Amino acid sequence: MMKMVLRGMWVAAILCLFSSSAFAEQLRVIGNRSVPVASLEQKAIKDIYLGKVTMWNNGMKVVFVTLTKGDTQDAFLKKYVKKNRSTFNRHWKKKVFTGEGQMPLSFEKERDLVEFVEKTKGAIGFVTSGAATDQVKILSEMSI
Amino acid sequence: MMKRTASLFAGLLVFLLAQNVGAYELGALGNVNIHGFISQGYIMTTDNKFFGDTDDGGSYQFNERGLNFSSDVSDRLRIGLQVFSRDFGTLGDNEVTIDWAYADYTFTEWANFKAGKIKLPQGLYNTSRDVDMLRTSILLPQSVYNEGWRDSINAMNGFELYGYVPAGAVGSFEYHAQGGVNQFKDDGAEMRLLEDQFPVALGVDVTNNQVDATYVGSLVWETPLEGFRIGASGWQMSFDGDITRNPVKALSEENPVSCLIDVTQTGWTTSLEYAIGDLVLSTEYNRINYELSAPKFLPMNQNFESDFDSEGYYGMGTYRFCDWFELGTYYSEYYADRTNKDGDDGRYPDGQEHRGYLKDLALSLRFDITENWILKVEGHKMKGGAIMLNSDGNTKNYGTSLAPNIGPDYTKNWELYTAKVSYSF
Repeated sequence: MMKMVLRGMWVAAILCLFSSSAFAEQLRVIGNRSVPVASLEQKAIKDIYLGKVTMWNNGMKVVFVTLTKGDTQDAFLKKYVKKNRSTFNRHWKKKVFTGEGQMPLSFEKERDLVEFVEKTKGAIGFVTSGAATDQVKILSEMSI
Repeated sequence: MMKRTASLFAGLLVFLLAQNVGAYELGALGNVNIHGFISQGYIMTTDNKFFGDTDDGGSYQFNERGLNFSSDVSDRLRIGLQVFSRDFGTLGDNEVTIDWAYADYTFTEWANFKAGKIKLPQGLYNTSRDVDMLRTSILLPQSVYNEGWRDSINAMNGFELYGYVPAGAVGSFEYHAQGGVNQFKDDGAEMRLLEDQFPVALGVDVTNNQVDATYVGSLVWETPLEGFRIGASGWQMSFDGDITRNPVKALSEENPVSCLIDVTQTGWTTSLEYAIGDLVLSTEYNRINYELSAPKFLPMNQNFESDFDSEGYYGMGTYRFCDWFELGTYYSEYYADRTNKDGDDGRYPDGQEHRGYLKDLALSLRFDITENWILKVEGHKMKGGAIMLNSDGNTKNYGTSLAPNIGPDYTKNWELYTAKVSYSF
């Protein structure tokens, strides 16, 4: 039985080598105009997306949103949150199933995310530099 | 009644699973979130009954089901509730319970207040021990996360103050302080573990347990080194109950057949975790002190320790090769009494000294079939007989049919295999 488990391990590990991908894009972290800061550092953004910081310094609730999946999401998580999609999802599932928090709202399209951030007080999100961001604050930019 | 409730619960879960979306929103404001998980496993052992009939063709009595509802009532107030059932051999029996239910108010990042039924933040993984999809392994290291302890240190009714404190160049701190009472059943694992502290032949039974108070504290330091965190947590629980032994086995007139037993358990855990990309390394050390007081229940010459410490520790490594495959391994050691690691102080029958410890080498494979479906398989090489329960049938007659003398019966070297499928939304 243990040999079967070990054999399964090697087969899966070899198959994994053929399933990686690479991506490069510029990212913008955007916020609603009510957000009481002009810019945010990577650590502050990480604390928000891990649910550690839940209020802006004026007492307004932080509403952070994500993209459902894709290369932009992966790049943001890697650069700002220091996690990959899997560990980020697991972090939030842990919060959901232990009563520590609610899963962040996510959008499939950048346009919908920007529209939500425009209209929602305290909201923060991220998009690529190609998205229209004239109605929101740009809190951070990072070339990747 | 309980079966009807369990069926209703299972039916609701199946209905929600069939909808195949990530979460649900209810209410006029659309602000009630519903999430759930369900897992079904199979577990078998080559020898010994691991909390059930695992050595006789294996067991399918290995599942967890949870369904939760939560809502942000205002910017600062959140409420939530999770119903939960599990079956782990002779534990749980799919009884539907409230896993957690709370109102959570935020004053600032570093001061939040929670009231209700709250999870106990012990070690790195106690709060998430029921949720299979959150980890690589199926079984957590039993030296620190003994399945038999789950009912008593999972959650309690009480209050919690917690917060997150950024500390600049030093990193950040997360703390939890809790007070309240937890509840557990007389026929549950906590009481059966207590009964196992006495010679099997006495037929000891502990009933009418009543917890006086439970206090919990936890501090986690996220160091400036990305992914490296250090934690310390502790808890103390006091309870009493009626302890009774088989009157046929009366020891002397001075020793009552029944009396009150007072128990105080004080446990603490230190934790280290280092996550570097897809590699996660962790280690934890746990010690629990047991103080048992049942005056004159047993004469002094009986092998019974009334004040002792258990000890457990493990080292674990997991690596995620790609989106759908993860590998994990750990080595774990547990000693029922740290001053008698070999189990040879006469407490156990000759040849059963290994009842005093359990050493476990585990290898786990996790396959993420989709974001919601997970399959795991796992093997364990075990040495020792600690942690398991005599009352699961791990006993034999050391006497004769006319003069029986029942005692513990565990195979020293054995293996455990398990597989599990989980779904969450």
